[in-house]
Amino acid sequence: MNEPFWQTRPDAPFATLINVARTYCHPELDEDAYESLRRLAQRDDDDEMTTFKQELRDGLVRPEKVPQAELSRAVQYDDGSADKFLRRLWHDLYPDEPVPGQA
Amino acid sequence: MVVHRVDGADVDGTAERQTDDKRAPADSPGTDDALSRADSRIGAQAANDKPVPAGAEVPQPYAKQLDIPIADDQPTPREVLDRFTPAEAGLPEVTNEQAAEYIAQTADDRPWLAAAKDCDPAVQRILAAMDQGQGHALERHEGFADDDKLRRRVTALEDPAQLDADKRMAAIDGCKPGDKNHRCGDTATAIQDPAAFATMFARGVEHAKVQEALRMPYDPDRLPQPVSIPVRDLLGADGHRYCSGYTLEPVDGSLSKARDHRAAWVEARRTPGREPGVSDPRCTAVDGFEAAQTQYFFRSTREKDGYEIATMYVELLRGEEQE
Repeated sequence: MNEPFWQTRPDAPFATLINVARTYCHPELDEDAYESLRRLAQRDDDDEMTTFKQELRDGLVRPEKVPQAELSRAVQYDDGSADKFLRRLWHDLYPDEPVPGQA
Repeated sequence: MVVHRVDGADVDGTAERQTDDKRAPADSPGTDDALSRADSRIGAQAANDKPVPAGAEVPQPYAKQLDIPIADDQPTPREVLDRFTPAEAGLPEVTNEQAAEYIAQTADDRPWLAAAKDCDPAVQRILAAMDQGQGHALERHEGFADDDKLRRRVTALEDPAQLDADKRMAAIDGCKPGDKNHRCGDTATAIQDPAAFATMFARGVEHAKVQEALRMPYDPDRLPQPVSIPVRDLLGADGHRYCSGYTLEPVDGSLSKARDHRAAWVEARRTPGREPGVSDPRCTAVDGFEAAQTQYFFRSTREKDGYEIATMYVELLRGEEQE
């Protein structure tokens, strides 16, 4: 069985987005983890979160580039689609910034 | 679908369903007609699952393998259990004697400990330590979460750790304070043997990747990334035989859509008079645990000075996958 790319190639496009989302948003975790991510997202000097925010922005602007099946499998969101999940994530983490890609 | 239970008993969940029915009589608070109908639909699927056929191979209890190395260059499960240091996993220190006493005193109120009563002292020590931590692996991913509970969790978000029958049917989480909704991915799995479960946990804690995560310098806002370890590396080549699980049936070919429909169905189930507008969630037994990986997720310790394991469960973490 092939391992998911976000585990074997953590520098690949969208790997940081998936890894961070899995670490803090997976349903096996409680709300404390999601709250941790909210606080972490406010750090301007954090390399991982900088990459995460850039990949989240890219995913919202160009949703066709997002590895949706991998994201769905890794994060297990119940928003119905990757796009809805990413929009919720941006809204929750960066509430003062408009959602990228939204007309 | 066939699921092997270590004890070989009641694999279609009949006894558990009867227990649940007793816990939720028709006239109990919060159990209205809609809930009853929904419950019977879930039960109907469980009843339609095929029992293990006569002669089907059931693995021997893992306790019988405790003194056998899982590979030529590996320590025996007992050696791993005996040298397990709870503090390394952010858990309270427990002796064999303290563990036996803890289990004897609390198993009536914490039924996931019932199976531990007859276990080897080395196994009891790990289970007692885990139960005193903040993680929920023992309640949801060991044999207390039998096949019926796994089906109910994945289709109806009924939390095995929720001991109040009405709250369980309303998908209220059993571990979080404040009647929060229970959550679950599209698959629910468990290790159906307490000795195998304890060994998986203890050997996992020794693993370099888990050690690295547990020893990560503490940051109150940051969590270690989840760690994946092949089941066979933790339990041996036959370790997959102690695993069972169920996964949602896709909706229009999509598991993401299936999770979304399940959420709508559960919301309707807990709202009197509301029709879900989606079909009843259904599940099928997981096959192919030979390639499964054990997942370790992490959380802050109670003292907020380090990390402990939030949960441990088995997953078929596939790469490329069609939704």
